[in-house]
Formats: sequence, structure tokens, C-alpha cells
Amino acid sequence: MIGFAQPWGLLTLVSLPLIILLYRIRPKRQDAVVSSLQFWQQAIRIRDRHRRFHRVLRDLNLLLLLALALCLGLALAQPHWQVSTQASTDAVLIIDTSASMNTRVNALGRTRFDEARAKAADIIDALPTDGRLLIMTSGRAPRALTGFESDRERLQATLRAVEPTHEAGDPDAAFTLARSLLRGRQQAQLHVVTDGAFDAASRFSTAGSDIHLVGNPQDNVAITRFNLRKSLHAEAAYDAFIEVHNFSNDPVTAPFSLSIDSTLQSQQDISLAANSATALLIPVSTTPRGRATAQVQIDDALAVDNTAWMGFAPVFSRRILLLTPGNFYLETALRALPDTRLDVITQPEGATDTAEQQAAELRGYDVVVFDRIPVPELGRGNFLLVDTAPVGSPFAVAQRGDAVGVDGTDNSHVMQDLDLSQVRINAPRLVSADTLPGWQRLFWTSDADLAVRRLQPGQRQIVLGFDLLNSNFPHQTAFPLFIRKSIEWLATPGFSLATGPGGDRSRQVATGEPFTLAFPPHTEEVLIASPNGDAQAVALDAPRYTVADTSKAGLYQYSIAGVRHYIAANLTDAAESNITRRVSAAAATTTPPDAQLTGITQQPLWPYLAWFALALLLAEWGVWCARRGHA
Amino acid sequence: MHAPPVQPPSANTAADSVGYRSVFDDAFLRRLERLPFLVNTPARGPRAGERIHARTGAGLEFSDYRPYHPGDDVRHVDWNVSARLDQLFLKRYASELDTSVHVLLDISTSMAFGTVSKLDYGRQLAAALAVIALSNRDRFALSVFHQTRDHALPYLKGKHHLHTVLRFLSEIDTADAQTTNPGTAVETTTPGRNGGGFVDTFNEVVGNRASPGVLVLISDLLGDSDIAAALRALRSRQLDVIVVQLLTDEELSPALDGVLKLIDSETGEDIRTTVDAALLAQYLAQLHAHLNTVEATCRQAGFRYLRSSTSVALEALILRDLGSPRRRAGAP
Repeated sequence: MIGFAQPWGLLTLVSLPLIILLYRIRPKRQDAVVSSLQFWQQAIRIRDRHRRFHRVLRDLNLLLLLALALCLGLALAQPHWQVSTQASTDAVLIIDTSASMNTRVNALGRTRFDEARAKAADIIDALPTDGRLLIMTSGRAPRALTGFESDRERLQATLRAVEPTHEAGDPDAAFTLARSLLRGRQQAQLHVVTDGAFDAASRFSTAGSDIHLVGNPQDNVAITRFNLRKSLHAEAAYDAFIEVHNFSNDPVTAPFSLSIDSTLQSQQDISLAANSATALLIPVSTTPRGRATAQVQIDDALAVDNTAWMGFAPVFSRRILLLTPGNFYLETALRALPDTRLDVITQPEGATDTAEQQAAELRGYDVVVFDRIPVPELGRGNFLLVDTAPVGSPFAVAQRGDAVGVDGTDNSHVMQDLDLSQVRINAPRLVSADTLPGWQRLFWTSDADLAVRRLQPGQRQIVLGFDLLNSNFPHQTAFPLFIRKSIEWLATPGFSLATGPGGDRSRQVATGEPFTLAFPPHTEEVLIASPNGDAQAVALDAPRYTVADTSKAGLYQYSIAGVRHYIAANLTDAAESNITRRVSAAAATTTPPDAQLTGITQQPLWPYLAWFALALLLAEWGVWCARRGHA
Repeated sequence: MHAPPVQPPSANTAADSVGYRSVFDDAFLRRLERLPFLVNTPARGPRAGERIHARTGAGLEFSDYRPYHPGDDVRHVDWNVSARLDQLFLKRYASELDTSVHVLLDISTSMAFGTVSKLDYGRQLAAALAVIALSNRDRFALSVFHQTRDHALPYLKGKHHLHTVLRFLSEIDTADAQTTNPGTAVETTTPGRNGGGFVDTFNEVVGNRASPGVLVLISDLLGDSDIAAALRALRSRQLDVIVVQLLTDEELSPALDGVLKLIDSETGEDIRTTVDAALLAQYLAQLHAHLNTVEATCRQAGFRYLRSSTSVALEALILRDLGSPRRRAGAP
């Protein structure tokens, strides 16, 4: 298909009739009377017979001129040839592995995914001889399981290894990825094997895909929300909030139970009207320390959403060691941190312990704060250094300067919303993060940096280059906030040993969502158990580890210092628990639109036209010379 | 030759108002009168003339003697010679007979073409032949013809008829074609002339009009599709035919070039073409092929063939070509 970048260039084609007109213009004929036309007629006949070639040349001249003008006109319009970048018979097979695919379709336990796998196997068998197929799954995030593979056996083996997840599906992401993979391929096909239990009016429609629907209408009751919060009425009391949804067309009554730390907190029957939801607010009298389980005891088609879990962080989980000759402001700020156990060791200023003593003291603390205490060579761990520096570091030899103010602050999370404009510091250490590789400055004067930080594998440090007691910084409102943010940065975000997201104690993620665990600095190995009982020993290079595979709903467990920790992965997604088919087969077309699946490139044609016009010009000149010579 | 012809002479023209001296000057006429006649063919005319025929007869000029044979007219016995030789001898005399000159002048439209028109030139040539013939007491007849009609001046003898001939010739191009000469001109419509071209005219002239003698055809011989057949119609044992083909310089070497509309002077047809060297070469080749055909036809028929351009002085044509009986005809 040809397009034009500058269509106005086609206006020059009006020169074509002008050329023809000019060619048809002849000088005015003069009358000449001859005695007889007899010999003239014969002569003209003979001459013209001999000059046919001349006439052909004349006509050829005109044709070449017309072709030349045509080429130039087209070249000015800058035409381009829209071509597909690649031609193939490639296809992508998206197999829905979302939680709804676990829906039972019969009493024998056959699921929608079993049907989907069988249909996908048929698609693989029906591939053309030169066809290639890429298998990808559509869960919370799409995953390509193969490349474009033509080996049927390998494709079937891959398919057999696919299992449904407990994740909420994101078909839009799957369609987007599939189309990007098929872009630039002609005759590409997109097969989607799904139960159609997702919103058909999603941002990326299913148009252009071959939709293979599986499953049949089924009833489902699901826990779509499960939270635990501190009670507003009592200090140590909590409220559990549970939402239960009935997605069937019939009313349902089913027993419900809530257990916390193996203690049954509530058991009741709940009645749900057809296609309705109910919310339960259950007071919990005990402080949850481990895990909670909410369950609707009903034998419906999809079991995974009948239970919701929750893990809880230990109450005292952050440990801070303060080594100081005495600093009221710093100690007060650290003690004000929530869920923190602070140990303070008072040492005379400049006193040192042996390396072995210090290593023994530091072990087991999440953060160690050195205040004006000489610092030994630091290993793994998180450290806040106040007016001191490790042995051998550039800070030890830095010169002190005159009283300064804070001229600038970093815009990182640590320094965000901190007003240090009134801070005055006497005799700071004049250090520069620019000369220290790996260090990042937090706030500074015009001459040097006042606070810097460093992130290394297994180690985090924040260094204040001045004595807090020799400044008015502790008197500023920004001081306790700075201390808290510094400790949070040092003690690692995410599921740290202290608290969960939002400050509450619950620890749960949506199925398929990865979570990061933080461990004490000296932890070298941890054993993480998944909901189905599989345990994985993880060697830690850093005091944190990200659990990526949370495709199964349930409790993920690990132990630290004999204390068992739980992280819950719940479906709790109303859209996914609604296993009603919302996509019809008729909504999907059988032929993918070329614009979506075929990569179109625009190859400019004007250079070729320009060269061709030049060749035509030379040819026209040659013909003109030949015609003149022949005449 | 399919266009309206040049008009034949008008019958009502006052004879004396147009003198032939306006056509020929005196010096030319005097030279013509002294010319030996253009043909060496013995005169075959039935009437006495100024030309001595080889056949003995009742002339006044002594020819020779022969022995007397019984039965001869004794009045022709030369008694002096018989007495001297003692044998009877008869005195013989050469027969003095006249000859006939018939001029056929083409007055078709194409004859009017040229800076010096072929018609003018042919008219002057015919007048010159008339002067010569009548001065020698030969009989002279003139026929002008075109595609469908012809006009004939019957045989005349004696110089006093010269002005008749010249007046006839001078009136050829007068406009009134519907009138006939009340004196001598006779208009004839040849039966079957339509489409017949020269053939019918020539058959008419040879079969009915021309006396034994000399027939001079003055024409450009253009246009008729079958000139050869027409010329062959002139063949007769009693006629010496002289074909004078007149052409103009514009026909022999046309000075045409460029984008032109060529208009046929006879038919008015036109051709739009570009005349260039190649076309001129082809034209000349076609023209000369035609001329060669005419000449070859004349040779085969035993005719004398003369080709002349109207740019050649008439005196030169008459004195050089027609004045020398056996001079080979050639290009002008």
C-alpha cells in the first residue's frame, strides 16, 4: 500500500497535460500551391513509411517526458511503501491461568483449566506445518512460557506443565503483550483459551483474537475483603472486617468462621441474597501475633476464595543499639519510634572496645547508632554514625570548619518534608560526598556536606558530620522526623521485622504480588514455606529477600530466632471471584486486524523515483539525439 | 486535371483588339519565318504547297529524266534530249505538296501553374508553330482541350490566318466559357469524355480531326492517371507526333520548406505536412520517375519527346530543339 508524506506534491502532475498540450502545438502552417498533389502524396507516403521509426522516437520522446514528469511529481509527494516487516504464520496462545480457571465444571473435580488445557492441545495439534506457536499464561501478569516454537512435542510438554494460579487475571496485559509479540508478523493469529470471566469492555478489547471459551455457568460465594484493624474502643482490641460476596443467582446461607492464632474468634451463619455482598465486622479480643483465617464453609465451584488468611508481625521486632557518651535528644528521639526496642550503652567519649566485643554487641540489632564513639571497621548491618566515622574512612581526618547553616537538602524520602533552614551547626566536619564513591549527600552547606548516606550490599550507613549537641538541630521540629526516616531507611522498607504496610500489623498481599522480607543483618539463611507445604531454603546475600511466586493463596511462613512469621496471599478480588462468563465468543473475530498484528513499516520511495527520473531524463536526451540524427 | 479548366477563347472577343504582336515581338517573328520547318517528314498533304515532295508529279520544278514507255504522256517528252541521244526520254517534275500541322494544347488548370505559367508558355509555343506553319504555306490547326471539353480551330492555310490563330490563343484564358468563336472556333464535347481523360480527346483528334502530317502535343502531362495509354492513342501511321512536356521550375525544383499546407492547384485539395529534405528528395524521385515513364512511352510509340521548363527562353526551345529535326529530346 502506498502512502504520501507530502500529498501536495501530486499537484505537479498537472504538468502532464501541459506537456501534452505543448507537444501538440505546431507552428502555423503556410499555404503553398502546387500544380498537383500527385507526387507529393506519393512522396509523403514513402517518406512516412521510412520514417515510422522517427515517429516512434517522437512518441517515445513524449512518453519519456510524461514518465519523467510523473516520476518527479510522485517523488515530490514523498511516497512510501507500507510493507509488513515480517511474514510468517506465527501464533500466540494465551491460556488463562487466573483463579477463576480453578472452577469445577463437574462433580468429578474437572476444572475449567482442564478443559482449557485440552483445547490448547487441540490448537497445538492443528498448527500448520510451518506454523510456530508461543504459549503464554494470563494471570496477574502475563508470562511467556516459550518462544515461537514449531516443535509440537515441546509445546505439548510445556502445556502439560502449566497449572492454574490463584491470581486475579489481567487479560489486558496479556493481550497487549501478545500483540506486541505478533507485531510485524503477517497471518499472525492470537488464540485465547479462557473461561471469559473478565470484563469484555476492558481497555484492550478482545477483537482480533480467536477466543476459545471453556467452562459453564457456576455459582460461587467468595470472601472478597479481609482486614484487621485496631479497635477504636479499646487499646488492645482489634476489629476484623470481612466482606462476603454471593455471585450466584440464588440466595445462599453458609457457616462462617474466623480464627486467630488457632483460636476460634467467631462462627456464624451468613445469609446472602442472590448477587449480593455482606460485610462482617467482628471484634477480636486478643492481640493477634501470628495468623488469622476467615472461612466460608460452602461447597461451591471455586474453593480458593472461600478462605482468606492474614499474617501478623511480631510486636517487638525492631531492635536499635545506641552507643553514646550521653545524648538526651538522640535517645529520646529513638525511644519515640513505634515498635522499637532501644538498648543504650553509655561509653565515655572516645572510649573503644575490642573488635570482638563490639562485633558481639552489634550482632542481633537492626540498627546500631554510634554517637561520638570511635567506630570499628563495620561489617554487615545498618548504622547511624553521629559525629564519628569508621576507622580509616575519610571522615576521620576531615577538618572542622566554622559555624554554618544548611544550604541545601536532598529530595529523597529521608529528607522529604524536612525544614532545616533554621539549623545552625558549630564546627562541623567538612566532608564531601563527591570525593567518596558510593556516598550520597543528604544535606550540606555551601562548602561541604553535613550528612551523607551509603547503600552497599549487606550494609547501610548514614553519617552526620557534626555533633548534635553542638548545634541547634535537636531543637528543631525536623529532628525527630529525621531520626525516624533515617531509621526506616536503615531498617529497610517492606515486610520488615517491625511492621507491615500502613503501620498496622497485618501482613497480606494479593496472590501473584511479590513481597520483600527483611531479616536481621547477620541472617545468612532462611527457610520459606509456601501454602502448599513446599519449603525453600534461601541463602541470603543481603538482609532481605523477595518472594516472587505467590501464585497460590494461603500463608507463606518462615522462622527467625525461633519465632514463626506469616505472610498471607489472598485472592480477595471480586472481579475474579465472579466466575460468570462476561465475554461471548461472538464478540471475538476470527481474523486479527492487520493494523494490530502486523508491523507496518514505511519505506520511502522517492529516492528510487528520483533515480528513475534521472534515468528517464538521460533516455529522453538519447532519444532526442537519435531522432535528430535520424531526421 | 479534374478542376475547372482554363477558359477557352471567347467567341465574342473583338478580333482586332488583341494583336499577336502583344505576344511576340517583331524580331522573334522574323526569325521564325526564316526557320526551316521543324520536321523532315515528307509532306503528305493533298493540296499544292511550297514543299517539294519526293514523289514526281505536276510540279514546276524539274526532277529528272527517264526513258519513254509506251503509254506515257507524250507531252512530257523532252525532244531536245531525245534528238541528241536518239532515244525518247520523258522529263519529270517534282511534286510540290503542302503539309498539315495540328497543335494540341492542354489548357487544364494545372497548366496555369507557375511564375511563368505553362499555359502562357504553351500558348506562345503554339503561336510560334502557327507562324512557322502558315509562313510555309502549310495547313495549321489548333485544338485546346481540358478534361471534358475541347475547342478546335480548323485547318487554316496562308499567313493571313495568323492573326486568327493568335487571337484564338490570346483568348484562351478569357473567362466566358459558354460562348464559342463565331468565326472559326468549334466547341466539341467528346462523347464519353467523363472519366476518359486524355484518351478520348486524343482518339477524337487522331480519328476525325487531324490530317496526315505533324501533331504537336503541348501539355504538362500531369494528373491523368494513365498518361501512357493516352499517349498511345496518338499513334497513327499518318502522323508524326511531337510531345512537348512543359514544366515549371517550381515543379522541377520546388523551393518549399517547413510546415506547410500543400494545395492542389487543380482540385483544391490540400495536404498538411512538413516539407524537409527527405520529402523533397522523394518528391523529385517520384516526379522524375513519371517523366521517365512519359519519355519511354513516347520513344516506344515513335514520338519525338521534348521536355522543357518554362524558364527556358521560347526562342531557345524553338530554334534549338524544334528547329533541329533529329536533335535528341532531353531535359530542359
